[in-house]
Amino acid sequence: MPQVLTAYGLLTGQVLWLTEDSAWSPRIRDARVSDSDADMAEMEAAGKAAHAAHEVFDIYRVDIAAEPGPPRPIKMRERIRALGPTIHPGFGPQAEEHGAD
Amino acid sequence: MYRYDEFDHAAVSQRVNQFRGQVARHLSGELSDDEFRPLRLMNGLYSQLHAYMLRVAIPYGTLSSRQLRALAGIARKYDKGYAHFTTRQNVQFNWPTLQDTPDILADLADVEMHAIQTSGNCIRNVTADQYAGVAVDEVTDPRIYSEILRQWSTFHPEFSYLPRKFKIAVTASRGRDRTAVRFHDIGIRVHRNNAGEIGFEIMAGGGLGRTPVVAATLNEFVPEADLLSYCEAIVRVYNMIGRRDNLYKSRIKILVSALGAAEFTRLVEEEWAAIRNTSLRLPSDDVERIRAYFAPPHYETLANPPPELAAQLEDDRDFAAWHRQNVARHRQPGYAIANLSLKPVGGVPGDATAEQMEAVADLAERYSAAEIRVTHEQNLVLAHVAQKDLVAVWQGLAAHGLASANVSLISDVVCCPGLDYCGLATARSIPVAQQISTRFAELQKAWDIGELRLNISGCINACGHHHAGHIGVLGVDKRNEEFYQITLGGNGEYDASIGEIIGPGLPGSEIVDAIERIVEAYLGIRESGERFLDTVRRTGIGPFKEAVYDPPQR
Ligand code: HEM
Ligand code: SF4
Repeated sequence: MPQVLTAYGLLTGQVLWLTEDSAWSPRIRDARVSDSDADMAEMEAAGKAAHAAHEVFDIYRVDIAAEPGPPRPIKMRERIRALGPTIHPGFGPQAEEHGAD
Repeated sequence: MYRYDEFDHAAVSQRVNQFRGQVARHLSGELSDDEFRPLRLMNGLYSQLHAYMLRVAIPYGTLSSRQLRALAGIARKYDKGYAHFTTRQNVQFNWPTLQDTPDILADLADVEMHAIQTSGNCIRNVTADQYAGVAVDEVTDPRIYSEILRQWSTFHPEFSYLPRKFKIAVTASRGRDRTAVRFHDIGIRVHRNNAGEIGFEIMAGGGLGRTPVVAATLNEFVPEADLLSYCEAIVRVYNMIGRRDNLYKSRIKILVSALGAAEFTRLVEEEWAAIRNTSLRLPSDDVERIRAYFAPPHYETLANPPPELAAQLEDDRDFAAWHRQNVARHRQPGYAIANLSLKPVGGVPGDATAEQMEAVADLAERYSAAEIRVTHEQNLVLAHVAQKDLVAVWQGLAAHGLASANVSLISDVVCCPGLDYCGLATARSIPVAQQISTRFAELQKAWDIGELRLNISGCINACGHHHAGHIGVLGVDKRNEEFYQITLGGNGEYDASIGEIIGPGLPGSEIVDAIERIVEAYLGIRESGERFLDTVRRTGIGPFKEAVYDPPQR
């Protein structure tokens, strides 16, 4: 199953996703998606390094639907984490799509 | 109200500086994650689903207008312009950064506020009746004892690492309990005996969460002077023999249930005998000194009711509706208690914007002794409004969307943050609350239904007190779908009861219809004068179960 790596930014507390170039983005569409063990190991190593450098905390893998288009987490919890509270379209990363914050 | 003494001031500022240092040491790598996390929690800073969350204590639910303004300022400056009032008379900010938190704590300290005792396995912020000092049915002001307990419990060296969190509530009401006292680790009810002496009914072992338990009474009348020694004995016994091996079995309720209330009481009273006549004894001048902090504001001699009130009620049906539902009797003739609902139709229960908080602070300054109360139903109270000013207060509230006339009705939903914010949630709770307050928005209908407490939690931890709701709703996850389990017959008052599950959970798309069918079943079978809870107690859940799972074909 394809996965992405997520964490929280230490300073901001913001939800973050590990990107292709091993940086962290608040937008899940920037996330590096992979279903290979080798890639995941590499991504987790990047996560560990970022943790050691006091950039992020609570790092874990998130399962993504195997479908084309931007990554969509399987679990409702992770979908809400990726977008923001469903009751406040203006809060969180979803705000960009709604054009308000 | 209570003002900090020098000790409090010094302790709180020291704490802010300490935390500032801890944050800096964490960012520089000197303090690891594992070392920093408990320090962060000790200062009320949690990590939630989207961001950090800062929980701020409102001791016994009483705020000055200056403090409320400061909360509004923090919401605006460091957060997204709002705050969330909780069922434990705390307030939560959902979007602070770690960087800003030391500054937020410093802003709070400026107005004698803090986040101490809002997290961790310590004695948490002690709550009290929101009508304290003004209720017609009270023995004396319960906040006196909440404050004494606060002073005793804050930084109590022996109790800073309990098996689990520990919650205390104090009520002094002779009539109805407004604190959910029987769902606390220690519940305290103030009594006065025939000789005119104050004493306390001490209950222990109540709680919600995974295993809801109604507290047992350990002692019917503990003399005033022995309040602290008795509580210390309870917490000491719990601290010594409460379980630490299993998170779900570590609350005092599990210990009291395992030993039986009689045996637990025996252990407590044995310990109590040993410490009763030590420095824990409360001298009566200490009690009087604290009592003075809670002296009532200056009241004028006013007509009761004022002559103009009848015409005002006649003239404006909306005002009359609000007056009927949200205004309660005050002990002082000519005055009233005004309840401010934070449950507008379709709104997020307990949320208030910075503008709303400032509007309430203004109204409190003009009309209510510059003081505000927070309720465990996530509403606010202006406790000292002259009846002649009620119209002006109502107009001021209405201008800011704070005049919903629904206190204690079905649309006054108590609701935890659920999966929209909370990392532990198994389902969303706020959208269900929004649908319910919308479905039952029509006041005439809600009045006909009458008093009905509806509580929603987004997981088994029960922060929304669903077990104590006349109707309780618990969100669960069934194969990645939100399902909702209904309980009926719960109640958080002196005659507390735990709601009974009526059957399998329902999908989110069906839950509000099911609740409506339950309400209709009630309207069909209630006897005259029966509240929803009374009917459920009389008939059991049978008729409601049928209405939900086997409705007659229409
Ligand atoms: C970050 C958000 C929150 C977290 C992580 C959290 C966590 C928990 C947990 C784990 C429990 C169960 C304790 C146990 O059974 O031992 C609990 C209970 C409770 N919480 Fe929360 N909670 C949160 C937010 C809230 C909010 C917003 C409220 C008020 C609206 C609240 C009020 C309560 C109450 C009243 C109980 C049940 C009473 C008890 O048995 O302790 N909590 N919470
Ligand atoms: S009941 Fe569960 S979902 Fe709701 S706030 Fe508490 S822990 Fe979170």
